[in-house]
Amino acid sequence: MSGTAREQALTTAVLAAVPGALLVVARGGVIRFCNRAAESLFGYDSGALAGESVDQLVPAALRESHARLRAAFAGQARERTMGGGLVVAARRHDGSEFPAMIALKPAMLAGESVITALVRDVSEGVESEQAMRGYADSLSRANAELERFAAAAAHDMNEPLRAIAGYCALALDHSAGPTDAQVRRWLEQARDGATRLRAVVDGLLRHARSAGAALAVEPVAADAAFANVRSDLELLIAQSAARVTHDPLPTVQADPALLEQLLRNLLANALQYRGEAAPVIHLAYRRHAGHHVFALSDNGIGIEADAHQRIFEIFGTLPARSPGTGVGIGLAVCKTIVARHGGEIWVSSVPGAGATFHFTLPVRDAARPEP
Amino acid sequence: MTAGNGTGFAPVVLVEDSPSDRELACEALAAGRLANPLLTFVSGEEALAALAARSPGEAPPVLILLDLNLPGMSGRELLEVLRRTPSLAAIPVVALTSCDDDHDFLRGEGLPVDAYLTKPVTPARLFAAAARVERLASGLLTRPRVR
Repeated sequence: MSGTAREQALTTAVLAAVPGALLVVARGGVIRFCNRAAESLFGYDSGALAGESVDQLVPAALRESHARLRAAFAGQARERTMGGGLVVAARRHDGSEFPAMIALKPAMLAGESVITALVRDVSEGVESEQAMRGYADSLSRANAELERFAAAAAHDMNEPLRAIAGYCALALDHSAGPTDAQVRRWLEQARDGATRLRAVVDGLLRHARSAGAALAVEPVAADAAFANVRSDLELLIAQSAARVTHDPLPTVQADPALLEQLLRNLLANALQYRGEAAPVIHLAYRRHAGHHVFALSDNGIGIEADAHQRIFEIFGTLPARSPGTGVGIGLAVCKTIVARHGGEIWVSSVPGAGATFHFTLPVRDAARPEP
Repeated sequence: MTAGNGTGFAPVVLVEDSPSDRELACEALAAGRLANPLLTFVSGEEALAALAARSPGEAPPVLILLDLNLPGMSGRELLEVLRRTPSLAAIPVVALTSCDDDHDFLRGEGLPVDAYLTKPVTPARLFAAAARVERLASGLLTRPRVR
């Protein structure tokens, strides 16, 4: 064998051994060379592809545009990588199709300008991507459905609740005699029960809303938001002789209504789970690692370590000190609100010596929309 | 339709499909300071038919308390018909909702209503709404307090 013949044999052997489908296409679309992997990928017998038009390897419907694109590519003669390219439809000899990614590179071969192409079957990747997308779609549909259900259920429960509370109140207004004292007490219990359940139902509705409604993120002065919340809870603060203070607070990117609800729920929680002493509540602030970190500490009854996760679940509340005050949704709402803003919420506590609720909000550029 | 006490005063209209909400509103308003007669309707269709059939000399309602979640013609649909019917367009409307939370939600929709009121309907809530929105107060009549 001559040196040239040996080199040629080596080249052919190397090309045949390339772990991938390789095609060499001349101007005009004629396949000058292909390796065995390419033949088997497209379902051709050995030697059956060389000399054929590359346009056969695309679905009939795309042939015309493929020929046009091919001519344009030959004119530009630049490299296109496999990862950067799009997934295109490829056609096997038997007419079946598969998604493919194709890397193209112009080259000179024996004085002729050609395009080398590496073709990869990406069926599996496409299928798993479709499966993932389908899963995500069904999950978001299920979530939306659940939110609608919660909102509808909350509305439908309110009507009978109004009936119970309303008729009890009516009966109370009309029963004034001393013999009715026991009946009056029962009616009061029923009315108060309905009022408590009403709070639960409204809480559920708020929870469904806080999870479902679109976020309207804008710059919010946290000190103004906290001042609003304090005035909302003024009566409760005055009744418990609580001292409520805060550090200088920043302007944050948040949904103003949801931020106030978050602060309101946390402050109400601190006032509710008070100890024997008058509540001392402080909202601390620091900036850490690209996050606003808020911490609302109280001197209340505190929370056992094994409940630190559970309290953020719906109805995961501690037994309330006075009956009927623990609604069990407030902290779940807090968790949802913080998560929707891209932050985290957690609690640290020494039982008997108070609790601190920490939450973070990412420091965001005002101009940049919600991710 | 349930007629009120026939005082000859212009009525307050309540459109509410829930029998208990309707009765409790009637009881509460009758026991309170409101002197206007109360006309109640169980559906939007019934309310609209009665309002349209009003004789020329009859005073229009001073306001309409409207449940937004009605079966059949919804409260929103009734509202739309009211607003584009010249003889009814000027009547103030108070939308009745189940939760306080609904108000912000509905305000976002920009419904052509004068105020929102969370059920149950009570004289206190009605007069509180009237204190905020002048248009509502104009036709409301109060009974003198009995000593």
